[in-house]
Amino acid sequence: MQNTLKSFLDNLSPEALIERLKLALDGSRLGIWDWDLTDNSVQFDQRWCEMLGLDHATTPMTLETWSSRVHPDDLDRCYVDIKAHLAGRTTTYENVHRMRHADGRWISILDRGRISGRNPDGTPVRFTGTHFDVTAIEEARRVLATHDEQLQTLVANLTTGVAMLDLERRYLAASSRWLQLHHLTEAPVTGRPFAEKTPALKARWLEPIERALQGEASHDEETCVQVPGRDARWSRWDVRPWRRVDGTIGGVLISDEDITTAVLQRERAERERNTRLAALALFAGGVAHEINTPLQVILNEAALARSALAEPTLDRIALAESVSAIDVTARRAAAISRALRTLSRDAREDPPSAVTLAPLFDDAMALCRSRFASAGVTLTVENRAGDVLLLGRSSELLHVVLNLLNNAFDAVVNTNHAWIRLEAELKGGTALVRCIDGGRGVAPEHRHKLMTPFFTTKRHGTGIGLSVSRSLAERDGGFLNYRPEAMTSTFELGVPLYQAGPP
Amino acid sequence: LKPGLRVLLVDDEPLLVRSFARLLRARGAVTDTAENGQAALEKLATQSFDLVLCDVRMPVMDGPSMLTELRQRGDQTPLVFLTGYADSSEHEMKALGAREVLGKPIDIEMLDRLLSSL
Repeated sequence: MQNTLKSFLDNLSPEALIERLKLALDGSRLGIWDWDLTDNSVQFDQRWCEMLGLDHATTPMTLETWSSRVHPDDLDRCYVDIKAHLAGRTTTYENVHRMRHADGRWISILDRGRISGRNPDGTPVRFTGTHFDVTAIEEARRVLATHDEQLQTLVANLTTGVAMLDLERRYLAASSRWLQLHHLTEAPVTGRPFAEKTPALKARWLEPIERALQGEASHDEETCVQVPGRDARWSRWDVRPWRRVDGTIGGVLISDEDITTAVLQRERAERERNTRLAALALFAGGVAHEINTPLQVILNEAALARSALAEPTLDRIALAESVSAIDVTARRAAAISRALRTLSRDAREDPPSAVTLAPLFDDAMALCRSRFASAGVTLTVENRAGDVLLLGRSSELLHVVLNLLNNAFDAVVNTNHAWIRLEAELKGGTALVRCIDGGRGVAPEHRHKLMTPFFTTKRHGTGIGLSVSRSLAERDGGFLNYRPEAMTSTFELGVPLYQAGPP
Repeated sequence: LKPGLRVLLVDDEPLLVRSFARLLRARGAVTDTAENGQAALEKLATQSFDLVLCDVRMPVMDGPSMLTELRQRGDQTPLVFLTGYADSSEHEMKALGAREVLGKPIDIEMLDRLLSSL
């Protein structure tokens, strides 16, 4: 073939040869430049000029014609490549750069050339090459690169762990969240077998993947994932086949969403609900006593009043005594009932509002006083904060205070220091409510675990009271702390003050 | 009702003790009061009673502890517990020697039946 072409060209006259060459160059849409390195004059052919929208007849045949049209950002690179070739470091010169078209737009040029003449001493004197308009190719490449970048960004920022596998169960792609969820630190995973070093992954999805390759999708709303040495997490996942344009299965798409936060939140809400119910049950038992004693007094006094009214001469003093006793005890029962109503309200959905401190203490006292007194535990209250307005929810604040009082009660009942003091004072913009008891307090080795769920030193304790109390206290910017430096056992609840009007 | 029936009322709630005392006196009974088990034991050591009406939970000494000590002394004075708590075990308190375990509040008819049964 080559020989045929060579003999064909050899047999042509120089004129005919040039004519053939022109035709070939026309067809290939190549523009020719021929640079005289001795005076920096450059011969550009017709096509070279047309490519740039220039009129060949009026175009100056100098290097300036080219260099002034090259994009300033690309020009340095051109000279670097040119010098490299002139110095003999490359066999050909090749560079893609942007050039200004006469109509003002930028076009991309594939520029190629090589030394075409040297001095006897070997110094290059001529440099000849071609221009090829690659604007369309460059544009396509740019669009592809943009799409690729967008896709990479999308995958990288997905909040869901996503992995795409091929038919051989090798990674085609994986989102950063996926790598993070499965502790795949040796990026990139592309091309690596699925679950290569992660047996836990394999165990979870081996069957769903096989099913997906058969065309069947599987998913689960909530799976608890236990990996040895790591915290349990909860996952919502989906494994399904992905299909090529022709509809055939190309591999498997796995999505793995970490729903641990949501699950933990739900469990905490359940725990809070359960402690509230447990507290209510505890008080229901105690309250039966608190209500039954006043009822007994009221019944007795009513019988006495009836007898007094049946006498021929009315004993006004005895009757007045009965009415007074009924009044006092009925008010006490009403206070208990009111406190119970506050305590039983599910305030989780309520916005924080103004809560008066004094009634909060009254409610706590109504629910505890008689029960504590019957067990020989002295409860005193000292409100040095006055009638301030707290920011919170009365049922939750009452819940926290009762929890502290009950803990204190358990600590001191049947001891010879059976006293509890509930006090409040203002400090800055915070009301400090302290529950102090005569007990030894919390042992140093237990302090750091004090507010963690399910930690308890009580035989029948649930270990959730304090942790729930703390989360309730912190909900609106408050705090709940144990004060180890205090002389006797002291828990301190800080509650922000309610600010009237817009802040 | 036996005239001059002597009743000891034991409860840490003054209003309750007072109203029971007035009711019983109106029915011809002689009453005395104690605010806890310890005080009741002291009274029972020097005086005799036909009936002890006793609360269960009280500071210093509760009802069941007081009854246990009373029976250990050989004192068989009839004792009726009046409890406001739902969780007090009737069975256990009867085993200690309580004649009855009644839940507060009791109505006046029940009190009358109780007194006439003595």
